Amino acid sequence: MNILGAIRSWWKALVHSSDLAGEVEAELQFHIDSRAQHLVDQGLSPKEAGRQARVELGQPSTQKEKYIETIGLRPLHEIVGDLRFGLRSLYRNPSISIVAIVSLALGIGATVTVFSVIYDAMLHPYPYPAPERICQIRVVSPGLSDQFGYLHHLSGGQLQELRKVTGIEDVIGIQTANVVITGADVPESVDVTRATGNSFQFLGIPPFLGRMIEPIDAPEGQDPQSVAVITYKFWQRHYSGDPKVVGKSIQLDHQDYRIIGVIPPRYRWMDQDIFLPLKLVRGDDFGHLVKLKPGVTASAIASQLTPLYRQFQEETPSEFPRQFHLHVTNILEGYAHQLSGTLYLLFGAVVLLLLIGCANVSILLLARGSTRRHELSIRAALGASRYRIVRQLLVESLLLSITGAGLGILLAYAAIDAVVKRLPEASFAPEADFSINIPILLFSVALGFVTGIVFGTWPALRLARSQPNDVMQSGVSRVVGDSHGKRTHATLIAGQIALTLLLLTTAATAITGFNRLMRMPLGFDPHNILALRLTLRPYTYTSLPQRVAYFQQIRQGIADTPGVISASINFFANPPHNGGRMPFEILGKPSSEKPQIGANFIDDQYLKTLRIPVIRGRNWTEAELNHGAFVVIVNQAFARQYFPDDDPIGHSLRFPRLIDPPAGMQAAPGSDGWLQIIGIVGDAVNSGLNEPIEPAIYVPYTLLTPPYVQILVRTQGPALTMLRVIQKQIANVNPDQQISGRTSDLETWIGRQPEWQRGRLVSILFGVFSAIALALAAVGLYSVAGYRIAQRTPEFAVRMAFGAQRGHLLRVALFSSVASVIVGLVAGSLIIAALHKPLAGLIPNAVQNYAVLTSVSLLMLVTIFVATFIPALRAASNDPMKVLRRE
Amino acid sequence: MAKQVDLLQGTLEVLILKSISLGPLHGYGILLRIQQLSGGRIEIPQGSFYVAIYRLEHRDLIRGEWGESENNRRAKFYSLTAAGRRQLKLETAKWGEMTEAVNGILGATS
Repeated sequence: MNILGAIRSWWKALVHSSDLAGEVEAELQFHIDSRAQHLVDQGLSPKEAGRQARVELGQPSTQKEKYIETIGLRPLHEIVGDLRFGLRSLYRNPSISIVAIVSLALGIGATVTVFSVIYDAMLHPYPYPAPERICQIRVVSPGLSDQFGYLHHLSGGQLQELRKVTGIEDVIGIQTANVVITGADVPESVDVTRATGNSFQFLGIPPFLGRMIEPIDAPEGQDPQSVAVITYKFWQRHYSGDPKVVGKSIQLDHQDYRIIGVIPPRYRWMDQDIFLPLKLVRGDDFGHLVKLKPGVTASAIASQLTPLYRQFQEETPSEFPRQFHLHVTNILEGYAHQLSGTLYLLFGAVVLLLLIGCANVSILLLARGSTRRHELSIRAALGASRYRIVRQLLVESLLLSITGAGLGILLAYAAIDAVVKRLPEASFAPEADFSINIPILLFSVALGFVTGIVFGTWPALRLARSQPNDVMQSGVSRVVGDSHGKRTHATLIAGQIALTLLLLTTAATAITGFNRLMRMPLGFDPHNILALRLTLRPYTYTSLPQRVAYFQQIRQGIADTPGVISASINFFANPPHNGGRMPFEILGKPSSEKPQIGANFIDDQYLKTLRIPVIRGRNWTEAELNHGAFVVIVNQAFARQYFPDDDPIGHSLRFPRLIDPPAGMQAAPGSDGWLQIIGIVGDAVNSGLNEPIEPAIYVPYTLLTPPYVQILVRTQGPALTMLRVIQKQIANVNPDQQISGRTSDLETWIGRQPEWQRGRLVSILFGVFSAIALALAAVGLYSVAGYRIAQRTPEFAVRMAFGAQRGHLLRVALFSSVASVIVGLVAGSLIIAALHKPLAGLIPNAVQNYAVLTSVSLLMLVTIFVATFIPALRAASNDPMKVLRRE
Repeated sequence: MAKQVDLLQGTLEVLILKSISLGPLHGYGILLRIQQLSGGRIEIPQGSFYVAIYRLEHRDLIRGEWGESENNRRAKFYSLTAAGRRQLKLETAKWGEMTEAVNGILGATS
């Protein structure tokens, strides 16, 4: 057989369909005419001849179908017919079709979006090979939970020891610094990480341009090469993506480095600007990452490392808490921990939403299907095979599912960026790359399809079990459905109500939790406070008096600026996470173990600027600050914990480690001696917005002064509008003085805290989800109620004709689904009660609250009532005679 | 008129091929030609006639082209393609063998 001929005729049939019909018809018409002429020649009358010819040959207009069948395109034509019929029948019930499509689209869109974000933020954020083997070692003091252990920096020698541990494959050391680019017209502050030569191999970072730092760049025992690798971000920002950047030199803190490569954009390790090779120096301390050998577990390595860390503790006892254990986590766990509860909760919510959407689709299709039995019976009686009927319904369901799923996919693509933008800033690794997750996309689309297909072809399956004759002879043109169909339907409605109630209650709990967080008293006033950070240039103001005088001069300049109410200097004291942890002891209360406490180093203006009230005693004076008086102030939490029975004022305490401060800090002589408590101040949030306020000690910063300070400025108007004026004031004192890091007002800063951002994100998403869910449930119930009541219009008309009151019919219509509603609400409440415990763990600030459940149930009842009342009213207000005449 | 015989399954197509092997004909012409060649002994089933034509064209054994009929009307004229000519030869040979074999069986005298 010649395939070309076949293709030609198919092409003609499909593409030039109308030409074909004309040609086939014309050909047959010619044949009929010729035959008729022949018959006339044989003696028949023209009229009789034409009739006979047509009888012999058939209708020219139906000839096309014979042609289509002959060339084997009949099934295709039938499906096109099914499609056309399907579209018409979807269009005939537009409300049902639209609600079903929208339900599917929203369910699929929300599920895909949220799951994709969870997957990319938590389960697979890193491009590095084997991220599950790259670990951090936390030192955990007794009484703290593991994730609050701190990352203990080790000396160069200690890192070499670490590398020898059997379960460890490799170790890298890192140091980060804020460095100034010199030699250019404008000094620019950049984030620099010095990393050991093996770091880039360790993390498997390929070069984007040039080469990465290699072990040869930092040979053992020698100074490292003056080479630099820049990140994609810095390359774009500073060099505008210059392709010839490799080989150029850059001056950092007056030292020249040659650029040897650019890191690819996806590898945003530590979100830095520049990487330099690092030499492990014995005395210095380094951050580090270890890579475990394959198959070594985190707990096994923790027990291997413990003797080594005990040895480190003996070498430098002051660096370690007296008692500790080690907790090893891989880099995937950190972010998972921060957001996991929230994200799982959200994922649960979207799965509920998807289920509600599918429930909507199934309820709607069942309602419609049960009234189509009559139509289907007629088709069966006219000779449609069961296969044809199932295929017809299948095509309709697929139309619905494809449209819904298509819209859902579009929605997901549009929504993912919006969600990612609203994620808390530090809640996911900078390396995370957000994209639609294909497996979950397929899963939710498949679920949508299955729902559509199962419930869409349901009527055909039920039809197979009944005789078409019975249905048709029953004489009722529309059948409300038999008891079995009703039961399925009622169960689905109850299930949907239960799911919606669950979602709404969870959402309401999460939102009220966030509201509680927002209303929590901070203990200070963050309104109109500007927070900025000053860092001294290296090797300037090295002596303590010089340094203090310089900072005081700048502070005074800012405080004198018009529009500024007060200005204060501190370090370790910027809320809401403040206090540097240090061991301390109280005079006359010897304890074998030195407890650690948050120490805040402040000036005399700090309390006034933040409006933290002095409860008893007094603040220190400016004179006391300037000469470094040995005094401290404590908060109420401190007084409660350490002096439950007597007055702390007059007692003394000391920080033994103050005399041996970290590099760059200047301690006043005698600052490790006894410091007298002179005042108690109100509790202010100091360990995060979600956590209880911890005991804290406030110390004059003139006792210990680092080469950087925080300045808090209370302004009369919005804080950020004062920034330029304040910058000018600082420049008046010292034009070279940089303001480092990000300057912000304290309220914005607090708003950016992960707890807040998380709370806000959860609240927004939950708000959106519950609104969607409620709307879906309401619209679904409304369409179903409307549809079913419309089917009963003739029944109502007959009842009214026999004297039934409108009010009675209204009640009948209204209460037709009351059992489903009650069962749904009760089941939902039971599920909520059962899930309360696990849910409360996931929701920050959750409160056991039956008021929430009650109000949500009421909201649902009202919604359901309205959704059924409107169609019921419409049915009851029909004129019975009109209806009956129409029948 | 001689008694008409029913057409064997599948023979209509080879008859159509044969009838246009001498020159292009339109559908009605083919019908007349077959009746004429058979001496009026073969009656073509009208319903399946065009189906056979469509199938032959679909298989690229014949090709239809619009032209002018003897009474100046537009009509579709069919002619054999190269494949059609081969098919006709093949079918004719097959038919010969077939009739020979059938005759042999029917003519056996024991």
